[in-house]
Amino acid sequence: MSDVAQATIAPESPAQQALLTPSQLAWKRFKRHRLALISGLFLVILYLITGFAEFFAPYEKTTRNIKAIYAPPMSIDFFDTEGNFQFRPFTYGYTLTIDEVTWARKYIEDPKQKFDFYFFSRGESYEFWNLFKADFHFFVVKDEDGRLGYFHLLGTDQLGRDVLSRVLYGGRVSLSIGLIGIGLTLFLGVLLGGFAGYIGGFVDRVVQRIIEVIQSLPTLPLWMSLTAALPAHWSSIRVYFGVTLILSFFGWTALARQVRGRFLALRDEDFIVAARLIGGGNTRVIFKHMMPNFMSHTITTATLAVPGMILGETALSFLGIGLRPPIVSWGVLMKEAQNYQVIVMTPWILFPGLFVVLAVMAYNLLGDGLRDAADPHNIGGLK
Amino acid sequence: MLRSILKPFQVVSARVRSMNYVTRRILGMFPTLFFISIIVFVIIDLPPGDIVTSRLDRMEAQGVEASPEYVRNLRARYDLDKPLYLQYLFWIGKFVTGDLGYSFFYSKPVNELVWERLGYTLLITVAALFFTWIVALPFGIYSAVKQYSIGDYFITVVALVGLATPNFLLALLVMYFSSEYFGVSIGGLFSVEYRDEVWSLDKVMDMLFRLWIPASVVGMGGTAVTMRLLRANLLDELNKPYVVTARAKGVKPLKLILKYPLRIAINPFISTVGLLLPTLISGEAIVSVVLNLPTTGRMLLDALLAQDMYLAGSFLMLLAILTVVGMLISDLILAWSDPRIRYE
Amino acid sequence: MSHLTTKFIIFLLGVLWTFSTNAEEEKEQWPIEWYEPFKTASEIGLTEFQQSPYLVDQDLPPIEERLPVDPIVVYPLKETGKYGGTAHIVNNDLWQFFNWEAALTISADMSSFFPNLAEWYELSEDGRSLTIKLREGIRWSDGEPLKSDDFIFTFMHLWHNKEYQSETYRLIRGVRAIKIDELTFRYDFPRPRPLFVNFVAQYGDFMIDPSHYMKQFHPDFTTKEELEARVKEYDMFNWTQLVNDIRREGSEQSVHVPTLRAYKLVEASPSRRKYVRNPYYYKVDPEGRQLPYIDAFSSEVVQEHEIMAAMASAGQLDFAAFQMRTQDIPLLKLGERNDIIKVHIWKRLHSSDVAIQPNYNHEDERLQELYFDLRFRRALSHAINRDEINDIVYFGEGTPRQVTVHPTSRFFKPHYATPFLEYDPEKSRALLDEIGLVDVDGDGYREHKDGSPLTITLEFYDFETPKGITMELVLEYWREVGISLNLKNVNGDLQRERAIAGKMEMTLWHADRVTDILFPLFPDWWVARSISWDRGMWNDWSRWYMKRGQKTPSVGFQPNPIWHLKGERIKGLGTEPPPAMRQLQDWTDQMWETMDEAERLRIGQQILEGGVENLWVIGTVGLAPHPVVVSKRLKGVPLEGIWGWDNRWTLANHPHTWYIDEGQ
Repeated sequence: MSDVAQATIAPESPAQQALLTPSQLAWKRFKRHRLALISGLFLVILYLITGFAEFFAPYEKTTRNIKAIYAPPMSIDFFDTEGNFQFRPFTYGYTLTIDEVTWARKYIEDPKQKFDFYFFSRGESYEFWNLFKADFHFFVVKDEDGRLGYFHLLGTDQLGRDVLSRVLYGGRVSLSIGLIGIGLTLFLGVLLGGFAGYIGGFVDRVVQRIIEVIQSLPTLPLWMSLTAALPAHWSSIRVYFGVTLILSFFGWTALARQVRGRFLALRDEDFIVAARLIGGGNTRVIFKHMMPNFMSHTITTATLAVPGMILGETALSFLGIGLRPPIVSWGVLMKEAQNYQVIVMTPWILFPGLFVVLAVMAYNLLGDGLRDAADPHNIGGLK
Repeated sequence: MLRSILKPFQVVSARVRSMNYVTRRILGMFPTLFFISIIVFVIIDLPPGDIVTSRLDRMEAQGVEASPEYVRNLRARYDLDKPLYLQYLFWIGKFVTGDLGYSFFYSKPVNELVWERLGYTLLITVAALFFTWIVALPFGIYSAVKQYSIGDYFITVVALVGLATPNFLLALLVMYFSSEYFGVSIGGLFSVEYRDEVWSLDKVMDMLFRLWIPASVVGMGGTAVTMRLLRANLLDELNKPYVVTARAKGVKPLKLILKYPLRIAINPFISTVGLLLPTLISGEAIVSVVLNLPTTGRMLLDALLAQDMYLAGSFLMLLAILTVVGMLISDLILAWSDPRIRYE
Repeated sequence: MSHLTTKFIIFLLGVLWTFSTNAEEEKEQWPIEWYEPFKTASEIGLTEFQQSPYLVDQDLPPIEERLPVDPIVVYPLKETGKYGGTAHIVNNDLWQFFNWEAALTISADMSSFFPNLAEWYELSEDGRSLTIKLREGIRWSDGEPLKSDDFIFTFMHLWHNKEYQSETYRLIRGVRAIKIDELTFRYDFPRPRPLFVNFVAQYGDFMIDPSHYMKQFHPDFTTKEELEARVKEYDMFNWTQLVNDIRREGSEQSVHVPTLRAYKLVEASPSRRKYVRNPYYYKVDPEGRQLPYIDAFSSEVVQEHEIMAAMASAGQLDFAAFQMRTQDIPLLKLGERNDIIKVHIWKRLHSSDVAIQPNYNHEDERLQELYFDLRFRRALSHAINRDEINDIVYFGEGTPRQVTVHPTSRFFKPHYATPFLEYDPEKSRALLDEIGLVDVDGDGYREHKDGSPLTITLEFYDFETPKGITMELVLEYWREVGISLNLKNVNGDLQRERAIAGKMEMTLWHADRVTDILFPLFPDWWVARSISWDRGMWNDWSRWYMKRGQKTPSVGFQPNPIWHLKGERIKGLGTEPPPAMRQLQDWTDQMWETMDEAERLRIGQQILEGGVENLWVIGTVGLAPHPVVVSKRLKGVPLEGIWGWDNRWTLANHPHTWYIDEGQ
């Protein structure tokens, strides 16, 4: 992607550049990565929507629509069956028949059930972040008499639960695992990498060795072994943090290596030596003088590690040893889609997979953009 | 004059130094393995509760009576009557001598269970590696040479999607489409008609034909990475003066690329093998579960679910060894192909 | 009326009759012979016998010498089949694709028992002994004749061996197997055991071993040194483990073990097994051709149910049923549309596909108290919307039911299936409030009476019936009334370990043992009488019952090659159950001992009434459709049938009469 950027960088006069601070410069560079920018924006929106899933999701993650088991995605219409245009979008409800021969559920749009869309309206009540009760939704559908209808943009699953709602609630878990995990990773990476780089010598060698060991281990089998050891009676929330911890426990190595390298390089720089000579304590030197110099790089590397965590969670949950219901995560949803029947007959259950792909792709692109932006010399490709 | 006298010495010393590198590298492997073994041992010991009790419960549930003498024997057999560090020493000692412990789930020595499966894992991993190269090389070159062409964008998008798609999802989809549209039978490494046959050329061909499914799925992520890497390196190289000069002199584009820049750009190919291996083995573990392949992944999962920790531990250790040795080999090949590395 | 008109009317009537019978022919008729004791060759005048071409070139004695003196004749479903072919199945269907052979067998309507390996059997008037005479000339797959020793060996030298089995199962305790002559033996009981006939018929395949082969692994027949050498050779801990491994079909050494079944194992690896026809199999078809029809089959070890369903749907398997689930039917039917398979819809005999079992003896006393409160059980039951489960999981084709006996049972009364069945969350909430379970902290879940959080962890093994999806719904229903449930999927091994140890707060299994074959013998869902891996509800009460009258506590296990009677762990003397349960235990004893069928019926119904009152286990939906996938080329599998452990799935349908017809 950097090549795109490279090609579009307009020559700027040195005088103009001199007026900008390093972070402004980085932002300028970043902005030129259109894909990275879009990805960043997409992620922000995704985090917002999943963060406020209660509001954006039409239903709660466990609400069942008994009239729509394995119902295909519904359409948003503007023209009714007679071809009349209606400005307010609407949808038709389903009637279900079970085929006597094939036992397949068949849904046919029923013109008698017409549901209109109302935005920012009252619908199913929910508890927002476990804080307060509300029933305000981004949209609801109602029939002519004002009673709530149903609308499943991405269809429903085997229990008649709205796939879209579950994707949003699941995204909250999966995406937050990425974020929390990366926090832990950052902490571990900077701490250990910093120690190794700043102190050097024996500590350095030990940390180096540990990094080498962990990097040479196939991560998934290791994650599997550890998550499988989480006790049965743990509550969902503990399992959630347990899995996050395990995921980040092996993700910090790349970061630590980088931090160590930076520390090593900076340690002997004139300004650090000077800072130390005038009596700056270790803490002061590290936090005041060294950290700001490589934090942007570190964060970039961290960003590039998030996809690994998201994929890790989905893989573990998919195998049935990570998160499990009633937690809803993208991995848990994917496990439900593991069914061969799903691919053949109800492919919309695979939508969570699409979201995983999109989120991971966005993180990859964003990370690339950030890396190029953080390093004025880096004009390399997608490494 | 002086040069020609010195030359033999230089060769010898280079050899010595490269020998040193090889020895250093091989010796360096052992501390790594040592640390890994400790991690694995900790994992074996992780499940809560007394190991003996849970083992006994399982043995007893299978109908083997637990006489006190038997309990003592079992403890002794697993050195559980000894302190932890001794337990570790005994365990690793046995491991090194080829005694991998006993699977309580299968009531068989682990030794009888793992090798065939490990073999298939290796096979699929290597196949995935080849897939990575076979796909990444031409597409990477194309992408670099035809930079910003529609083809380049297409390849880039496919690579990005491939990188972002969970292995198991890909496996499910590939399984479905290959069954639905190519009539490839579901599950296993062999077609139905060959599953009962003894090994024959036909059976091998059948397996190789089917191998591409897991190999492509496992290798997908790595392919994307390698392709992008090759593209970037090649682009760097293509902008260098010697290429420009050669081009100005009228060397044919394809020949030009194959002759110089590619050689240099291809180095990372070898070096990434080491980095790819853990990813590939990880990928294989989950893909084999989805595709029902007779490899380590499924058995590791079962062992973990049954808390058959000796079996799980052995698998983990063997997979790690596989990775470490693989990395070693890739390093050595790299050193052989690029002398600069030896003098690091 | 002219002659012609009469003719025409007759013709019309004929047409009408044809149409009406066509409609009726939809209902498949099973051969009348399936409901009666086997006929033998001499009875139907068969004198000449044939064998499969597969055996021709093998160095074997002539067919007449391999068959028994007067072989059993088995009637196929419709027509007699042809020899040949190799079938493909997955490992889970082994027991269904070819059943194991016992002294007695079960009739197709599950109401009576017939001699199988036996020529006749006789229960003494006082019910204290069961005499069995074996058919003459039946041979093991290695050509050795079947003898009464083979029964005596299993019974006296394994089941009664203190090392092999330190604690004898109650049904076996004090029972002796006594040899009368080479082909006759009898079981002697310390107390009347008329139901031992049921046991021999349903479970009898585990009561027989090839003693001439097994003796080399048994200390009673081998010197200590030799035995130790063998144990070492097979890399086992001791001889009991070795014998278990050999008896457990499918280990590599099982290849050498002689069998009586239609097929013998020739290849076993962790990923697949191969079987070929047993040249000494003792049954023939009505034309005098030795069974089975199919020469060989291979079975693949597949763990994922999803893969199995996909393989079955794609037509890769000739027979797939055990692991097929109701929800798979649409996918399987898709294969039917492609004309590669046929999906036969059988009915599971399970009274309920999911029988939720609170652990009344759990170490947490608050849980104990709660579970023991009938109002709590009722509340949990009323909270479940069974009609919805039926619609979602079973396409509306199941029956919402509590756990009770099968409708075909003599013991059955309709009201047994319906107590506390209706969906009534309001009543459920009211009951919970009444107990004193209230939501103190306002998180939507009720707390214990003392205010501490109440979450029930239910561990279960998602196998055979749709347990996982049902429980996901139950979790929701219970949440709606404020009960917090934590679901934990465990594998079979862990389930066994946790259930036997009585460590689970709650577990579940499907309710089989509900027909006349097994209910009077093992009324497990109503009475605390044994400890097993499919029940985790009352181990201490059961232990008390099993150890009643014994003073010394002992530690040990009942070994058993199969699940349902597996692993009776007896630790200590258990706890004395409440009077209601003690009454039920007493009735069970009486039901076992009475020689009067009417009396047994009365007692059995008392026990079932006890179940109605107490609701020990909570049922959901039962009598559900079960898909049996049959490849286009496999013939002879009935379109409908009753599926379950009680009747050993396909035992009465004689799988060895199924055949492969590549035909069209």
